[in-house]
Amino acid sequence: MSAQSVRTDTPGALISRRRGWMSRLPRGWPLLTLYLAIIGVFVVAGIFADWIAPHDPTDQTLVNRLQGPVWQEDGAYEHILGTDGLGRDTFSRLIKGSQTSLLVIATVIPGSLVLGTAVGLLAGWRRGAFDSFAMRLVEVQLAFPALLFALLIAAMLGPSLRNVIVILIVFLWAPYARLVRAEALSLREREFVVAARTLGASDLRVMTRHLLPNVVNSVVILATLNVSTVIIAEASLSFLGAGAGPETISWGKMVSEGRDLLKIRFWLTGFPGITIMIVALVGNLLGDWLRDFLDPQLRNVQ
Amino acid sequence: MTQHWQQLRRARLSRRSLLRASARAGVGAAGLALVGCGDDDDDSQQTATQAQPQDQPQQTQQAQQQSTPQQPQQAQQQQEDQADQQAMQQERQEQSAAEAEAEQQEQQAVADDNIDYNATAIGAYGAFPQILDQGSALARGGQSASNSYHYGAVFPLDPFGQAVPGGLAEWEFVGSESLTVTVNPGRTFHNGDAVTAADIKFTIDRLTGRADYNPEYNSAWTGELRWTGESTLIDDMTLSIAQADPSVDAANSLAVGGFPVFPKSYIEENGDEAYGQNPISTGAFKFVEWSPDERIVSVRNDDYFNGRDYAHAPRLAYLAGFEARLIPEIGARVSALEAGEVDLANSIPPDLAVPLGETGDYNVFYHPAQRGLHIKLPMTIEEDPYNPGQPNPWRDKRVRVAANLAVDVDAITQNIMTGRENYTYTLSSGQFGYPEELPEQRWGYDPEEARRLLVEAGYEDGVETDLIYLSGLYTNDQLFMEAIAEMLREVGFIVNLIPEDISKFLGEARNKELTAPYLFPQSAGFTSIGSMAISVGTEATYEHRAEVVSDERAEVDRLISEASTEFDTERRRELLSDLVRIHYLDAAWIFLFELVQTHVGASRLHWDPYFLQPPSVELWNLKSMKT
Amino acid sequence: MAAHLIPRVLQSIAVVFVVVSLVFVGSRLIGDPIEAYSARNATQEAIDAARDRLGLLDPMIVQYGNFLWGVLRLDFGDSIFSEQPAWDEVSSRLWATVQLSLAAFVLILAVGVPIGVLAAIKRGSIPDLLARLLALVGQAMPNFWLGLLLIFVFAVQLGWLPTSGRGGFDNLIMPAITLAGFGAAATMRLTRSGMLEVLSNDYIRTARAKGLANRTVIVRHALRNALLGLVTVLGIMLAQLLAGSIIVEVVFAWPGVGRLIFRSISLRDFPVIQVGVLVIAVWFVAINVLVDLSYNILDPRIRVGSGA
Repeated sequence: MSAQSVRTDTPGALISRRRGWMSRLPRGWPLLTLYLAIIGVFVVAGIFADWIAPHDPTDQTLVNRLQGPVWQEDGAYEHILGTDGLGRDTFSRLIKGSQTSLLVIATVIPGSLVLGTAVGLLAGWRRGAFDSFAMRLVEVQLAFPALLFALLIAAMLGPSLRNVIVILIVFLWAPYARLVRAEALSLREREFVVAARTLGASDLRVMTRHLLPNVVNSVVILATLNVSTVIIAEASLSFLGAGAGPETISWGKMVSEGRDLLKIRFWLTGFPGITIMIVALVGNLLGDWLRDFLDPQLRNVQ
Repeated sequence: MTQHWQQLRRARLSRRSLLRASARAGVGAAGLALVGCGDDDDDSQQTATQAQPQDQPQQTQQAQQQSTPQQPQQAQQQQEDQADQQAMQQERQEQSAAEAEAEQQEQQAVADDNIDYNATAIGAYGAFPQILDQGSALARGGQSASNSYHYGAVFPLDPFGQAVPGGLAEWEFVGSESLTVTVNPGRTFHNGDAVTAADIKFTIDRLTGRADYNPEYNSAWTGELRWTGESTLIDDMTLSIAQADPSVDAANSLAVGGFPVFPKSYIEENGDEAYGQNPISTGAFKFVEWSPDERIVSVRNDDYFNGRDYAHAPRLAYLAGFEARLIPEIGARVSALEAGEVDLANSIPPDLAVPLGETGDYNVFYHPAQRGLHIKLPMTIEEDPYNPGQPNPWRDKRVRVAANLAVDVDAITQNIMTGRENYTYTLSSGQFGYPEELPEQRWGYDPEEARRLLVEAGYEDGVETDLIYLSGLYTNDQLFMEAIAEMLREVGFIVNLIPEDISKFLGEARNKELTAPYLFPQSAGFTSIGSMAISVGTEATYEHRAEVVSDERAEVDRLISEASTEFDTERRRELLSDLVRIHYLDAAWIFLFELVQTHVGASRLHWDPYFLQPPSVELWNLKSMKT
Repeated sequence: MAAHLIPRVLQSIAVVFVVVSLVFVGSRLIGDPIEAYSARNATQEAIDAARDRLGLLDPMIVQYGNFLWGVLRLDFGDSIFSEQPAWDEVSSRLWATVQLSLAAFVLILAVGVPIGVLAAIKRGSIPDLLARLLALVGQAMPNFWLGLLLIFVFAVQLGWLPTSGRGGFDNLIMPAITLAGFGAAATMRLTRSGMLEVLSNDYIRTARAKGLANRTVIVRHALRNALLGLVTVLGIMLAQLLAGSIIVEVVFAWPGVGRLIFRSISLRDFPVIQVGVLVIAVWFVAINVLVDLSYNILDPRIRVGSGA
């Protein structure tokens, strides 16, 4: 989680010269369609997991345990991706696991985004004591080994998905705060903000009507790039036994549960591992694309 | 049900080789005549004799009390012969394969000159203690296997895990008032100091918090030594230990695996802290050095007073040296074995171990791990924690029976575990006091009946409950606990499975704060009654809450206290059988199985377990063959 | 320079103070190990006595005061389990972790920066595509999975490297790669984008227009400026490697601080937890201060601006 909160940029600069509205489609739009399709599959699988899954993902058949995927000798069409150590259907568990990942992403990212943006806006706009306090808090958060903190919480409260979500929010708000603050600092000197201020707009109004719309782009980019961070962090917590409880099916837990048998049943960790990678990868690619599309400064890079 | 450990070839053969060894040592030669004949009994009688072997040390004790020195050995041999006889009977059920292997094994046993006495080995363990002082409670928690071989107990153990006199010291019961321990001459610690009665006194005092140098010593053995009163030196080599609380386990508690004998002057000079970093005792291996979290290096105790021809355990080791390595990840342990970095990978789940064994390049070691696993049910809590104001459903016997009927223990042991696990009725078959007819009344697997019972008890909507276990403590525990949880759900329980870490769990358990069913091991390190007193009964250390809730429970409590001080073997066996029967038929727990441990060794390593239930791989008994 | 440094150091000390205070609270909330690891029939008096010896019966505020006073004297108490000074427990494992972190950091620099530069120069080429793919995969892979795969391939299948433990140089390779994986991928992407941005700047065009050789332009101007932007991120990365090594230490049985803290949490050995986290926090802020300093040195404009 720690090293992974460092985000990077790739100025893909995929924007072509302006040629009417069609040309506003980015050069990579077929790829974009692919990314969105993958995300779509992920989201649909997550929402409708209970209807899509061919088997009940908790249904155990001990005699059928550790079956290989269908293309291996011991595989069967009944369980196309094989079964786990309790004879549960891997494919159904992957689908159900996407629900957990979706839930974590859908709570952690908005949660940390709102918290971080609010702190960042306030700090950048008001400056002064609140600003220094908030920035020190950001620094504390960065200096604090998040994984260790997560372990402490799990030791205290026992492993549960709720704790994972809270921990991730607590440790992912800071980058938003820093980003938004920096942008707010430069915006507050701009004419339209100064004008609004002179016309007597309240702090709240300035922040929500004038500053916020101008930081949305950066925040959305960061949020998209955070998808992979969240998924990998959840998996890492599960690996250390501080992840979701035993009742929850999650990809990270599937990798963690199958890891002892990696040698003889590679696919037990292979499928969830690859799934994590694909979703994280698409999240990053989408973030890159969004950055290229939304960040005007980078459009010039050619 | 058919999977009694006694049927397993390895154990049977080890018993045979034991007899062979004792024959070599010149004892009980007559008994050997019985081996190989008299195997015409039918099955039920077989079970009837099964309980007897456990019985033997108590007879020994009594014989000792009557001071007829010849008798104990004879009694012992007879028992062993019976055990072997019984093993032979069962052998017929799986003749051909067993025979082939038996021959092979015999050849191995004969070919002692194939053993490489200069070989060393490296073993990988999943956990290390923080300090190497086995006496300290701080070294506890499932890691002691990685250094218990530094320690030799006051008395040796026979294969059934029962104390016998000899080795370091002899014993004599003086009525039920005291136990006299006489240290044999010429016994030394690893540093060459002679062991004297003062060291034994110091050991007991240290472990019971009576030692002057540090009365606050945090001992792991106070429970075991509860029976001791003041101990008095009679002369240099003789010590009298008062029995403050007479117990049939008195001698056993000084012999149980890993019991440490401490060098008085060394500890008094250097202190507890230094001792924890540099232990000196009387075990088969001498400590050389360690780096915490990495390795513990040991060499053979070449001056060990228990030579290789000694009849009991432990004795002079075959390996010249041993290094324990800490490799927490199971996969990494196996990888290290395959890469040739270690020679022995401890605690490997059967899913990995069996394929390794099938390659022929590795030896897989199985042994029952002295742990009958069960799920304790919170009968003593009054209210249902999920529906305050409602009565606790677990107080209804029908609910408890339903839980037992819901769990298909055999399916779990056959599919997830090794398939060699015994079902446990509190005691496992073969243990002293096991009621032979009980299997006829076993709660089988009957989910239909379980559902019906829950409805009959008024729980149409199910019984909600947490189910607590210590994650990562036993082989495949997460798997079998999830399987059990799902089986319970099938019949109408609403189960929240909760893995807890050991520190939190132990604290809550000893404070009796737990209100949910939890997985618990019944350790069989002692006589049956000794281990029972820890885990069964209202006053047991790890019981939900000390409260007598029914006539059955009151009777169980009474039987425990009566049996722990009943020195008459037959009578004690009856009491114990009654106790187990009542406890089992009351469905006080969800009864599971006796855990079997699996380890994988390089092909050059051979191990015929000496103990029926070894606590871990017996390093002193591990041989490296010449290649 | 000192005028800039002193407030920065004071701020850092404040950050460390907050972190250790949080850990103090956290490790009190998870409970103590006395009950769990006392003798089986220990009386309540004995348990209380043991707690008293550790100062656990004092009011929380007194405990906190004692703890801070201990920190000032660099006396952190003894580990409850090993009975060795908690500081010794941590410091004896510190070098292992620092070694691992530094090795990973060297890898990050040695792999991430050159490939990033190369990808930027050869923008759009096959090598660029491959580099970007590698970076994306590297950032999308959970590191414990990477570690297990490495063990499986290089130690078990190929037998080239030892599976785990600490010893020679070859023991260090796989843990370092695993720990470096994410950071190297991130650095690669960052270097690439930084270079692209700098290369598009006016002064580079000017330099090229002046007729300077392409290589000189890249090395003397573009790389220097791109690296300047990287320093902060690399610094944070180095700082976080130390704390991020827990998983790698568990997978590779690396006897370092991360695993020590991990186990101490499960054992509730709070003196060790406190020292361990303190060390990590100090490491983090110290590196941050160094990054600030190096930034001053590297960037002449700031140097002049700060009046040093």
